[in-house]
This record gives sequence, structure tokens and C-alpha cells, in this order.
Amino acid sequence: MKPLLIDYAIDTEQPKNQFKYEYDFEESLSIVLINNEKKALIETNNQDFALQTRTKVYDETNECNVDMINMQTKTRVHQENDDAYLQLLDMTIKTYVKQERDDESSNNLK
Amino acid sequence: MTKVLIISNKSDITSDFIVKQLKEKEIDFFRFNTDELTKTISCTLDLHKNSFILYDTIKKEKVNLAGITAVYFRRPELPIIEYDDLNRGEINLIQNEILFTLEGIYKLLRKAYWISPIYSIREAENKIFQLEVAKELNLKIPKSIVSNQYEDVNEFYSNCDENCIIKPIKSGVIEEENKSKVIYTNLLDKIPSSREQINSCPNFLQSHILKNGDVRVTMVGEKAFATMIHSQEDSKTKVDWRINQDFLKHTRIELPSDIHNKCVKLLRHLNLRFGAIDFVLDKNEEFIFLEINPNGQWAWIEKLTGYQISHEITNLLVNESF
Repeated sequence: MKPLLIDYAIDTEQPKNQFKYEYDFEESLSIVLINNEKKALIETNNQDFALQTRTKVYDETNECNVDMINMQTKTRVHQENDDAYLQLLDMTIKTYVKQERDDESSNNLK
Repeated sequence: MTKVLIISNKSDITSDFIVKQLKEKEIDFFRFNTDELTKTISCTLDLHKNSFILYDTIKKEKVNLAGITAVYFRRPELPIIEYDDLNRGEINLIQNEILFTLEGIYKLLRKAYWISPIYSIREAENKIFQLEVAKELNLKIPKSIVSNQYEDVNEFYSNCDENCIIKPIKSGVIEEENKSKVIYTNLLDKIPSSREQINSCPNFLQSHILKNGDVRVTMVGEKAFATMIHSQEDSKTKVDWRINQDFLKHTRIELPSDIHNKCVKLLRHLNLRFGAIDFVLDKNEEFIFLEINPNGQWAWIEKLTGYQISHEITNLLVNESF
């Protein structure tokens, strides 16, 4: 029989959308590409998220016409909400797993 | 002249906030992503020459550890070792070699100013120890027990009017191959009839406190950034706000001076320069100490409240005033 504590385990949630970013070795921080320009992930905002989504949709459906792309983007963004960007960044900063590890000074060094 | 070493990993976005501050203040720094050691970063620790160097092969930068005056210790991780010709045991051996090299580097940096000293962080991470210290400093704590003795757990539950929470003593993360699970703080439904369920692991139980909200106090030296997390506005977050953080309101609050002073004392007692302290604000507006995260997350608090936490951490790295 499992210890009592294990009865309370729940599945972790993963973020529904991912802001695409990468670590920039020259800048020593994570960046996103917005219209081919580098921007620090921590300085991005909702507008950047929308722009990146638009680019992403375009990449994925590059045979669609522009109106179609814009419609898709608007729908997606609308379905989220004004704070979508903040949620995503928030998730990045403290994904459930990492946030739960608030009390640990390292992730895999134990 | 100040030279800051950030010890973390590439994915640690919180360190990005410090990088940004250091750049703005034109403070010399190097971000040592330990997951890059053996990849883009190499080291030579020459004990004969007393020369201790990190090499950044991308930036073509050479960092002399003797020149480091302050260390911001965040979330070091080990590099992923992927060589087809190594078996699991050999990979473990290599990882241990890297781990002990890192530990050696931390020791070599012992004269620098750390936020926070690594061995203090490790000691302070234990929740049982934290509660003992908090109580000693006259912070109010919930009735608490850690036990795998069936009768004692039962008695504690009865003494708390059968209104207790159960939570992990360490981290609640259960990592499985393709997914992970987590254990938050939960209301204990009942004491199980099976003794085995109690005996097979120490159980951390506390009296359940009805609250007006949760308070996260981010301490940077003597400065307190207190935030009310309005956990009682959503039924899912009443017991543990972390379960559904989306859209949970966060507001700045002023800490009573007595609680502020005790938070400073707690840091000093634990030899920490930073701490993320969790309180419950009970129905009588009393602050009840839950725990301190000696290396806790703070970037989301800065984002949501506008508190200048990264600015304060950077100041502390430069001024070494606590």
C-alpha cells in the first residue's frame, strides 16, 4: 500500500502555448526573435507574443493568404486573453515543476 | 572593482533579470551556466600556479576566479552527457567528476560575497529546521508534526479537531519518464485505516488555518518586498495558491514592523542574504509562518507587482551591505 502522501499526487500541467525563445550566449540571457530582431525574453509584451504567433502561423501555413493568417492569429490571441503574454512568461519563470522546487537550490545536482 | 559571477543554468529566466540589471548598471559580470561546463565552458584549476580560470569558448572570454568579488547563486545544473560509447555507470562517474569540480569551484570562491552562501542555503532548505528556528524567533507557526507513528498521527489529528493539512517535507515533485506529478498542500480527508500507509513514510501534518490570504515576503538583505496573494478569491486556491496561479491577484502590502524585524532576524540566523518567506494571514490578521525558500523564485513577483527586486539584489551584490 502506498504511503498516504502519494494519494495526493496530481499530474502537472504544461503550458498550452509556448513562447519560442532561445538562450543567446553573447547576451547571456534568453531572447526571442520578433521580425528578425532580437529581444530579451523578459522584456517582451503581449504585442510581441501576438507578432510571434503571427509569424509562427505564417511559417506553418505559408501557402495561406494574409487575411487567413490574420484571422487565425486574431482568433488564437482572442481565445487567450489580454494577459496571455504574462501567463506565458510567468509559466516560463515558474513552470509548475520548477515553481514547486522553490525550496531547492539546484535541479539536478543532488 | 566589482565582478559578479552568476551561477545558474541557461534556462533560468530569473537570472536574466539580474543580467539585465548588471548590464544597465555597467557592472562587470560573467554568467556561469554550469550545464555548459564541458560544452561551451571549460575550466583549468591549477593549484601549483594558484590559477583558477573559466573559459567561455563562445565569447572568447577568460574569467579569473580570483577576480570575482560577488556571487549570485541561483540554479546550477549538470550538463547532459551524451556519448554513445559510455554506459550508464560511466556517465554517472563523469557527472560526479563534474559535480565535484563545481563544488571545488564554489570552495575556491569562498572569500567572495555570496547571495546566499551555498552551505547556508542547503542547511536552511529543511522545513523542520526552519519551523524550529522560526518558533525560536517568536514567529507564530501552525501546530506541526512529522511522524510515521500511527497513534501519534491520530492523536495530532484529533487535537486539531480533525482539520489538518498534509504536505511534503521536501519537494512535492514526482518525476516519471514521460510526465511528472506534484503534491501540493492538501486538506487531510481522514486518517487512513491502514497503519502501513502511515508507517511507510514520515507524514508532515499541520493544523489547517483559515486565512484571509497568503503573503509572500521576498527578503533581500534588510529590504522586504511583501505581496498579498489573494488565494481566497478562488475555491481551488484556498488551501494552496500554487495549484491554480493564473489570474490570482497579487498586491503589494506593508509588513508590520514586528514581522519585518523577525524576517531580518530569520535571515541573519540562517546566514542568508535572500529569502522568500511564506506566511498565512489568518482571520485575525495574524501572520503565521509557513516556510522560507532560501533560494526561492521572485521574478514573477517583480513582474506582477513592479517591485524592484532585481535592482535590490544587484545593489546588494555591489554594496555587500547585509
